[in-house]
Amino acid sequence: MKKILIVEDTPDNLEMMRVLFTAEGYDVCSATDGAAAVSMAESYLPDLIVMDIQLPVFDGYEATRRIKRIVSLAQTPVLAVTSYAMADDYQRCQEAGCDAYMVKPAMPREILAKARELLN
Amino acid sequence: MIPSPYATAEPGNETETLLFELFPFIIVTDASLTVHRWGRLASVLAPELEPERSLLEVFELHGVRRDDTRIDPATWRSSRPIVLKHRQHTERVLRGQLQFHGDHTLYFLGWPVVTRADDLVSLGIKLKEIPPHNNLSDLLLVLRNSQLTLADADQLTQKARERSRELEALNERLRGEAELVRARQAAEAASDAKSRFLSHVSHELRTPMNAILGYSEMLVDGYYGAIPQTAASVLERMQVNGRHLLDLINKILDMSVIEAGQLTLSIARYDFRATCQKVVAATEGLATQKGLVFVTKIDPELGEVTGDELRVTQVMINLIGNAIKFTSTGSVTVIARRDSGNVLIEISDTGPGIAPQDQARIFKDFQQVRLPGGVTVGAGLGLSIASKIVALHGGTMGVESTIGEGSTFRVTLPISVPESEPTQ
Repeated sequence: MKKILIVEDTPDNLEMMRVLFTAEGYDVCSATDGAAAVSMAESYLPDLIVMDIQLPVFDGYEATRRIKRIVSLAQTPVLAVTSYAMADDYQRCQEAGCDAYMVKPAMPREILAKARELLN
Repeated sequence: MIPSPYATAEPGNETETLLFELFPFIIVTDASLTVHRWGRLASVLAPELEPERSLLEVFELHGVRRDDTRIDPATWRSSRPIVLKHRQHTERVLRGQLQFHGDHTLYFLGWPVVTRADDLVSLGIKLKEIPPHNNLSDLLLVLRNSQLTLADADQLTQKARERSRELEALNERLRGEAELVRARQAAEAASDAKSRFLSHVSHELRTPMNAILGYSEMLVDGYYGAIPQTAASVLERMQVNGRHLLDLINKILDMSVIEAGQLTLSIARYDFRATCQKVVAATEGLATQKGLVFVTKIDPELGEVTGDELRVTQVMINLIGNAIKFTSTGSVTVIARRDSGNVLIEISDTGPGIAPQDQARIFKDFQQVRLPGGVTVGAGLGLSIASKIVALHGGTMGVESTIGEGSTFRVTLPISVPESEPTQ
């Protein structure tokens, strides 16, 4: 069973993705701030990380940079899902090491399709 | 304080610099005729000029008798011209070079210029006409031939008044410009604040929109179990309205990005015909759903262009979407063809038309199209954004319309768009 780490600080959005991915047969784990995301990723070793950008402690850019520096996680795809919709936000995601980028509102069907693509 | 028709000159300021430029003979004194500053040619005429020296003393050195001067503070304040006679009966050497031969009478003409409030006055001195770009030998020639009459003096006074008025106008303009700059800075600050606010609001709206749209889609998709048919149609409406709201949020964000000058085009080569076909495919259904005839004339020879394909698509979808939205019967026609160095896109409808007084207005921010009956639709942002995107491409956008017959929006885009630059 593929493992997905969802990093999201808004309870409703976290719950939505948890239901979505669980129903689609994934093993789901979550973190609600940047620091927790890094430690959770290290212990849980997910196959995919869905990363919000605006997060407490430190943001999703920083969390992604730290995760990508961990050898066992360097190849784990990170899908950024963010409310930041400007052109340079996309660039910042890329620079931080995110593998894909979606702007909120990201519809469940699209997230699922993108997650499947990244997991293959 | 005396109300003065003259410009205000102060040491080193622009007005005084200009005064000295126009009248290089000017000597600035105060009301007691103590010398303060002078123009470059005044010191050629009177090398004895020194700060704090009495002007009359300097004039006496040049043969001006005190009783010729008729200068008293009241005269100075009258702003009437002051004429000083300077009789030369014998050959005289000024500064070793300036020579007067024979019997000459020179008139020094002065006119008071109130400088700072009413405590400083200037005495302008001019001897007949001095050629422009004069050098010392020209000056000598003029001085030698100088026969200033009182008629000349009047003429010079007239000129002086004109110059003073020009200076006053210049002052006025400079003051006005300073105010304009301040007003523009304030407007820019307000516009920046508005853009930041819009951008912030649009970011903040995305998070709850994510939950609203996401959960409703998951309900439709059965993640929370089967839902009754009646509820399904309600969910459908929630989704349509949610997407509409999202579209508005995106437009607000676009607008704030454009206004903040952050919108850059991603310029690349693309197949314009393929783009047109995509746009047609995306909008055709909307037209046929409303029972409209959807006519397309896409030139197969359109070929490749450079530009921001995504933004151009956005413009075309906006225009075609509007045409469909406002047309209840008849047709929507999309024409795309080459027109010399441009591609030309025409979107015509048989809708209600746009009144002449509205035709320029609709391309501005937050200006809605008002339908007959006073109904307004939309946020009034789509056309404004579209026209800005077209302008960024170096293209043009316009409308022709007749009330009751329909509208034609015409966009031209250059086939080749240079390097992308941020909007200003």
